[in-house]
Amino acid sequence: MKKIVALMMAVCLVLCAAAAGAEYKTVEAGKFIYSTSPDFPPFESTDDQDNVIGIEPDILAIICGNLGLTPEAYPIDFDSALIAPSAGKADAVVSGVTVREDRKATMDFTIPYVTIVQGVVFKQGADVTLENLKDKTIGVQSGTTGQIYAVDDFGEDHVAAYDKYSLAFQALQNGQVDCIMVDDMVGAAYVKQIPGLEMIKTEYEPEEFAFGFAKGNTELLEAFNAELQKLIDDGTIEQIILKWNE
Amino acid sequence: MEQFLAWKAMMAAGEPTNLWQQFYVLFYQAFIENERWLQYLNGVVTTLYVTVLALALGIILGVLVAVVRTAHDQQRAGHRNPVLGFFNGILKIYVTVIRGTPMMVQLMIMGLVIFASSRNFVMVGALTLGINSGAYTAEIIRGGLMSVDQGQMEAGRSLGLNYKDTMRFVIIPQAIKAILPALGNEFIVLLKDTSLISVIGGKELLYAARSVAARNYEPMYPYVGAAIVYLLLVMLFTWLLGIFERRLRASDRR
Repeated sequence: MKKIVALMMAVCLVLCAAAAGAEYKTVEAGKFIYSTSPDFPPFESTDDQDNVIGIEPDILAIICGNLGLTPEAYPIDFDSALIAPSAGKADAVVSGVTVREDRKATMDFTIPYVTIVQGVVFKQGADVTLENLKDKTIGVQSGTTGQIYAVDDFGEDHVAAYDKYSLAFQALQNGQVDCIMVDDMVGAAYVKQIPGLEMIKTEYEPEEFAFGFAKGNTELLEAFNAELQKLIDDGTIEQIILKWNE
Repeated sequence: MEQFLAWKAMMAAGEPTNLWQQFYVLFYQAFIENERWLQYLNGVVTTLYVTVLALALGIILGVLVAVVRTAHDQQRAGHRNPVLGFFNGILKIYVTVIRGTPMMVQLMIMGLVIFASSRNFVMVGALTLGINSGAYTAEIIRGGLMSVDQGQMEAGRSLGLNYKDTMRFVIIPQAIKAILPALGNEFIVLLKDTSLISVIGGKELLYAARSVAARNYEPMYPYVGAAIVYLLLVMLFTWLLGIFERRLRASDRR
């Protein structure tokens, strides 16, 4: 008898857990797993307890709360984070992802929520201008638009790609690279944290950030888009971005 | 080329494609488009370059360490040479520290702390791998030297050969045969460990594969391609080592 009761309770538990997130198809029922490279402040970084924090986790917390899902970070290097949704390891990549035509082949983007441009960060007083970048060694993170632009315009020999932006900035402080090509908001965050750096903005096309969902999960994407649009309209997104840029 | 673009457009649009078309598109964009095979080729050259440098450094270090440590350990009781004891202590620390820390940590420390101002990431990587390999090689060689019976040394010395000549003509030839399989193991590990130097910005084979995977957002073909290249290199190496071993064994059958 006891066993039967225990069994029924177990079945109940499983059903309840399934019912909570049953509305949307996700990798793990009830959870919204997002791949991210948390070395990208203010969009995402880690706190002292190794939680992923920043603009995007804040946005996700609100939207997932409304959709009845629990957000869960899957921290990994950026180039692998981009591939995680199409490999079925995450529901979306949430890592300051620029909307690019070639990326649309492997993921479905939400509506963009912020616009940035590429910046170049270097040591104060260093002779780095937009004109002489072709003679410099440029540090980037693997797989970023910064790497794509730098390699296309200045050649592989002028680029050093690191697993994380934090490593690239370490190399900049060591003098192993002359400058870092990075999204301006992120560059500004690093400039604020590390004394003795400065940043200039490049003239590349402005880029739009969005969340990259696994292809074909239309139901979740549409619900997510609706919530995101609401947050954009009522100014919540702007407030979150302002808060993290303080 | 046109075939590739046409099929790629079909795949991007979600139109039905057969397996051959998918294979062709993914293979083409992973290895042929924009001459990407050149990246892999440069990567393989760097990988081999680092392996050879690290191997040479590892063997030189390994032999030196092994000879000093064996000489120290095989002293007659009551005849301790203090100079030898001093160097033996230092080398013991070297072996302990290098074998006791992960390769990746050593690379990070060498690349970002000790050689913090060096921009030659490949050379820093080769140096780190060489120092690392030296510690393992030293223990392998030491094991080989110590495995030769003490009687061999005694016989050599009593026939009038000095310590150096006994080592050179009697002990080392026998030791080499014993350590070759273990040494081959170490070389293979070294060849594959070169893939780690991409963490400090070294551009070897894995770096090329990662760059291409990041461009196409398609990991399978670049990574499997890189794996096959590593496998072929190791197989080639094993084959060469096999020939060498066979030649050394020629004198065994009497």
